[in-house]
Amino acid sequence: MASDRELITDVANGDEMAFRQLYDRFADRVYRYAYTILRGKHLAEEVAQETMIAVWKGASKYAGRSKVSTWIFGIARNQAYSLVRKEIRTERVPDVALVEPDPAPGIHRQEKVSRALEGLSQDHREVVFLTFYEGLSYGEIASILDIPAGTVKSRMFHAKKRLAEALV
Amino acid sequence: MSRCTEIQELIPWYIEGGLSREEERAVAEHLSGCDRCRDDLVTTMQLRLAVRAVVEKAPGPSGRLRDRVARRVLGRRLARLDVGSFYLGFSLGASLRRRSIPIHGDLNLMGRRIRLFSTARRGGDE
Repeated sequence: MASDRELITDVANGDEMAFRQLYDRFADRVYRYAYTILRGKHLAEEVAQETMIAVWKGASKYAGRSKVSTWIFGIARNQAYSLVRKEIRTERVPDVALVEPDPAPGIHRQEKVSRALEGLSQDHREVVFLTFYEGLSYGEIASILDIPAGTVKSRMFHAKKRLAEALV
Repeated sequence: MSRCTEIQELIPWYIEGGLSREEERAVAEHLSGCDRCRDDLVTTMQLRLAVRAVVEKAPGPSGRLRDRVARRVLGRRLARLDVGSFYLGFSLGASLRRRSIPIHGDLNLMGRRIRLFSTARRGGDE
């Protein structure tokens, strides 16, 4: 199986099959990341769409200094925040909650954590997503968010405290 | 900052395996003698599982996303001619994009497609 780097090199050469594979690896992850930031399905789809198109158009600009995932999440973040700025101007409201209420008692904890996630600030929520869902190191997250590594650790520390209250 | 706070800041990446060898050793050493940080480790592991479950449970993007991206990136396929086999072959195709009809030729080698030429202007045709 081709690595992400091999795929991005092929995409830079106009290889459509390589792009399809890269799409399959990243579109859903980019969508979930955008959803974490924007809290809206349609907005998250817009970000995923524009990010994947930007990957196709800009693959030759990938310099190989970071992991491909770090580069793509960086693009997604820029797309998401330019949408956030647009949304603030037009005052559109996020459309659905992350998880619909579920009556099964077994997932009671998930519901509480979901609500606690909703209560976090955008900055804290995306660090939680990139750490726990994407499994990125604090250095990689610092590079995506363009903030010092110490700030990533401290955001995660405080977010964790807030989320832990939901487990009690 | 207390030693416990320093360690607890690193615990999420201790679980994920994203620390340097020295950081990992320092966390492991501290954990062996600190009940409070061991409790934090357990809580963080529970949180990680719960957060992953919450994110995975949320519905993914709609199928239309794939079509929209494909249309913008690859255009609508108009025609394609394949010569040869899975192991060695040649494809000639044309697609309809917003402002052009690019033609491209690919060499198919052992199931892998290698672009030989394309009249599409990247970024300009979409």
